[in-house]
Amino acid sequence: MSAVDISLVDRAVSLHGAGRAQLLPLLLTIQRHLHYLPPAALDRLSRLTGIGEAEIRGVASFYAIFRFEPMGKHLIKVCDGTACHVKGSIPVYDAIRHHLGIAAGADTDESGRFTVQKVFCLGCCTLAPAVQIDDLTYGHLAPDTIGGMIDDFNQQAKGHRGSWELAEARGNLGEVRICMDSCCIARGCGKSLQSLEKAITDNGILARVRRVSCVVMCERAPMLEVAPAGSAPVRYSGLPDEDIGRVLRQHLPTAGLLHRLRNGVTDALDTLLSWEEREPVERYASPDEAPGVAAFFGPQVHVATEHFGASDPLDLAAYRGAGGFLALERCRGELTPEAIIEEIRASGLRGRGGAGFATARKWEMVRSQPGGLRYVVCNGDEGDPGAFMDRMLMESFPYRVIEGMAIAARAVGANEAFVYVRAEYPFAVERMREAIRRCEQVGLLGGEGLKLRVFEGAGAFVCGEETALIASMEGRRGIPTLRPPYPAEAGLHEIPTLISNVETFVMVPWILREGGAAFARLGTPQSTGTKVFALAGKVARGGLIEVPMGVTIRQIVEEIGGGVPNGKRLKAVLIGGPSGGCVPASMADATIDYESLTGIGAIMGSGGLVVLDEDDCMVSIARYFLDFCQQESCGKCTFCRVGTARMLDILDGLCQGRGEPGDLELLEEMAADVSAGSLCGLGRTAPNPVTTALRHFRAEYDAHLQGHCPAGVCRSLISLHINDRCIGCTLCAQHCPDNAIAMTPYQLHRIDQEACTRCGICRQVCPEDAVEVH
Amino acid sequence: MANLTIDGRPIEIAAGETILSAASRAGISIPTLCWIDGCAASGSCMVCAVKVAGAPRYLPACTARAESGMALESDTDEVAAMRRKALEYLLGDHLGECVAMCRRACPAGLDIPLLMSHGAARRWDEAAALVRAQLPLAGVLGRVCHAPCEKVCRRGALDDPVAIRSIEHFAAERDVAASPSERRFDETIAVVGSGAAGLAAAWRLLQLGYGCILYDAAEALGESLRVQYGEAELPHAILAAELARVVAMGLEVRLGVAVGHDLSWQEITQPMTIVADGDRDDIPEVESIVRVRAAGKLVQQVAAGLDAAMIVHRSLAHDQSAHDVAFRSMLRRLDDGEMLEFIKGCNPASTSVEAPLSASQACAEASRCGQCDCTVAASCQLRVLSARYEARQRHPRSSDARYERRTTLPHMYFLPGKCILCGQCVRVAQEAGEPLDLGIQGRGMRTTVGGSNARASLATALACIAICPTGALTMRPETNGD
Repeated sequence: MSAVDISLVDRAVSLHGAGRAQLLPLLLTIQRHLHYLPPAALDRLSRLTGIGEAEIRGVASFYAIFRFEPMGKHLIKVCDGTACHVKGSIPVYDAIRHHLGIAAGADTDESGRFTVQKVFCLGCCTLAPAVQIDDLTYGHLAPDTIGGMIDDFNQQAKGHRGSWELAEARGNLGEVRICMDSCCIARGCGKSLQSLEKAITDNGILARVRRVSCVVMCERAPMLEVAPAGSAPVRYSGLPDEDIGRVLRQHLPTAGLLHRLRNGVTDALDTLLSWEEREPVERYASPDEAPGVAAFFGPQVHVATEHFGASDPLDLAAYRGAGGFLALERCRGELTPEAIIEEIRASGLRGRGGAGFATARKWEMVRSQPGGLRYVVCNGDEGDPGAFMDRMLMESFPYRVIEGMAIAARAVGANEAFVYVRAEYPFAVERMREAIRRCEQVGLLGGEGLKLRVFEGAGAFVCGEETALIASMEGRRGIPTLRPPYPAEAGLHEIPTLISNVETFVMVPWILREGGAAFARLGTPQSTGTKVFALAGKVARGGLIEVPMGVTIRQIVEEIGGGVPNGKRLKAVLIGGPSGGCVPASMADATIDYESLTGIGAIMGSGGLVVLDEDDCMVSIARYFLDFCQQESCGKCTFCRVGTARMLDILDGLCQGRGEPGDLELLEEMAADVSAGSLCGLGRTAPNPVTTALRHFRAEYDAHLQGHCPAGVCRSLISLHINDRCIGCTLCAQHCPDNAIAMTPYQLHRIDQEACTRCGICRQVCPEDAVEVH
Repeated sequence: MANLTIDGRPIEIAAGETILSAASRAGISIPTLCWIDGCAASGSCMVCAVKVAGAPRYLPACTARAESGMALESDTDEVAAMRRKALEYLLGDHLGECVAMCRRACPAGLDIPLLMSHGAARRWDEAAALVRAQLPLAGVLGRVCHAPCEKVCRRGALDDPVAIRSIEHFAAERDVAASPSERRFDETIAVVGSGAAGLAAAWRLLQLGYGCILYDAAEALGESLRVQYGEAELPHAILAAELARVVAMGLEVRLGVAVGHDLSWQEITQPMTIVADGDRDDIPEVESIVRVRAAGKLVQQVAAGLDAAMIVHRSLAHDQSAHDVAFRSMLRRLDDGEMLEFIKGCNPASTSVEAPLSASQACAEASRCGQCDCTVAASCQLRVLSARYEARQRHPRSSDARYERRTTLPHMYFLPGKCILCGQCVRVAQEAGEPLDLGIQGRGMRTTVGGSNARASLATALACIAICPTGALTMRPETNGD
């Protein structure tokens, strides 16, 4: 190791300041530049800040993003969020390690080129399973495409990666709109943009290209919308590059060469690309007419996602043109703070972060506190592995977030506000920062004296809990504290603080513009309005959806999602992530509202909705969530820290065929203990996935006790066999990471059961479906 | 006036106070483990759980704010069960042993770990005082005891057990003058039989402060011992010296007196008599006679005699001492890797010595002891409360919970396996303003207390050790002598 450049620490301190509240930003800066936190840097930081080194380590070791060991030149993050997990992220992870020859217990290959890490959710659930190498995202991976991915990355890393921004041409032109949100970019919009650019140049098309906000059909990305001047837009998905030119010529005028500018980098979005193009869904068809699209949009109502896909998320003029900031103006003009709160009360809006606390009551509590100072914090620490609503909202509707926060600040009397964004969402951070900058530039925030800043989290699920979020903003370990006192009484730096979820703030401008009553007309009497969900998993059409409260789970899965693909049966829907529960197919007619979901043992949660089919094992899923909660437990309360670990031991045993009589009863007892004896929401809800799975899928647990996994998922309980459909193509033998299959061309292959680790790669690569699970 | 109820009792509360403080003012006792009076509460252990009436929800009394109108339960079976479970979860991961195996194996109950730590620090005067205070016939046992302690010594799983008996022998050889015991009780107790059991009973009675008359039909004291062991095994001069020590404590010896023949039982059974005289069948079945059926190895006979003396002591209602806490945490078998961790800071060499030891050999050998005993076994709240709530170590430990003995802190060892993460040491270190630099690190089951850069005065280290409720911080052996 060469000597570490410690001067960075000094520069970081002069940039951020040396206060305790700057500790996280300081550590993030060091981590980003040095890729780990070297002891010398921590020592220097300790001297400059006066905070003990062990304490700094204590804070840093609380957040997943920080490393204490040097890492390879490139970091491969394998997403193990729920959607990726059920779509095979573990075999992908194993295959990457195998491909790079990483030794057991190590995380970096011998040459020091790659470090591989499992992470909980990159927020690209519709690309599952997804992998991020540095800032490149690859989606829809399988063990047999890993080699290609690494090759592609190496080429990308070698070659010049251009950055471009397409400038507007002159005149009244048509438009070609392309979504530039993380998942579309990962799906190939970067590539498509490149092809689009080429097609426009080559064909002399007269049109302007606009990057737009999420078109919310993430499953079908890349989406291209061709909008000729003066006529209705036509959407295309999965358009092959070679056909783009022809399609454009059909709709748009050509007039020689377009005046195109390529200027400096304003966005690093193009550096993402997807490795695997999916099968085109509806090539050439105008999808608006296709039944799938009609169904996808059918039951949806767009409040939070209003005007989706219509304009560049950072185009302030477009946002204002569509009624943006009208609500804020009204709130600053005619409406008193009391009247604003009254309007929110009339809307019946409840917190969209999960617990569903009445928003108006919360605002009132903050407003009524003594003293002059107030803070507003937008909670964008979306930690549910399998949810990406907050990311999409921040990336696609940054001005809505800002407007909602500004209205809230006006109502509660705050003049400082923060957007707390999860560290795994670099684009959301960038977009929010840029949007704030542009608002400040034109005095949209300055007039009221509202100081708005982005605070980056560093990877901790528990920081979604408001008291933990405050602790982390104060530069401490994100340990929740017992309420009361509520943040509304004593929050950030002991100042009354309003903390709400991103989606809650996004709803606010609409309510103030359209009226609380209009919002209350949507949804059910107890749960008014709409709710945004991230639909992913085993569903034909995934993406960001927004539905009025009161629709059924079945409507979401069948109508919007197009049902379970590949002829499989729906088994269950996971709602609310690690804190939520599983809803079995038999209860799919339950409606989506706070009370109904709580009634069936699930919770609304922040809005992750992962669909499972018959190939998913409910023991393994429960184990997955509990493992998550155990790793994310802040470690304070005995019941949560130790109880979840003991429960995990039992579930590990069940999945590995070591179950013992009485295990299920013990599991239920512990679940009740952990729930009752934990202080914060994480611990209290951590057993939910286990409890609901045990309740609805008891037979599957009993089968595991007998050493059998009905879904054929748990590796220790299954064996793989090749039947006589085998054509001897040797693909399985080539891909087997354990050398358990001998290469016998044109002959029936056999699996050596001793050597086989039942990773299932052979099953995935077999073109003849000849690998059976017993 | 704001009020809440605990178990139906209305209690006045002061603004901002905790449930624990309101309860204790009202005389309601709530157990605490991670909470320490006068210190900032961490509210992590949940042993002080109280239940919100009518809801399946528990609050830590030490940190939860007392709110007007609260209805709480503290003295119910349900709450007791919750407290027991909190303890059991902590115990499940507790890699510690309240009482060392050697000490549990010693029938006479010698505090072997203490003896070893004295020896390792060359505190031979203390070592000698200890064996003399805890063992009758220490010099005899040092030579002929069958040493069950050595058979269970953890060190034996790695190389050789610590040569405990030889060290005891060395300590007992030290010339400590025998002196008459202080008489504290009026009663004089008769003991019949001057074998190992009778002598041990007499020794313990004298030590406790009773008068004692020892009867034996034989003409010489300790005749059976002399017969049992040859001169080579147990030099007669040594035995004589040991017997003389017992006599010097104030023992009255009546030799050549066969009780039952020369003297009637009635004549000696006031107030009580201990009979340790073989398999006689002529002993009256009366409450005032405690019969010792001494059998087995020498040390077992000694133990039987000591026990008999304690029965007398309790029967006469003079026993004021606290009873041993019933709960004993057991440490699972450690693998070789863990054993190397366990003996960190100990003499790593295997044993090659045989009694009698030289002073340096005895010290080196005692330094091989890993000190399995818990240093705070008597005061540990985890232990006390586990006994009170009948907690058991029923949860299997995670296989990845490895035994560790961290040696990075100044003046002390840190045993993460005993830590309950209350953070009190971290707070003490911070308040001391010294760069002891402890911090809670990591997350989930990997949460631990760490220090990377530790520099601290002995006083701060001692304060940390003192505040630790479970003995997770212990003094380094070399610190003891400071």
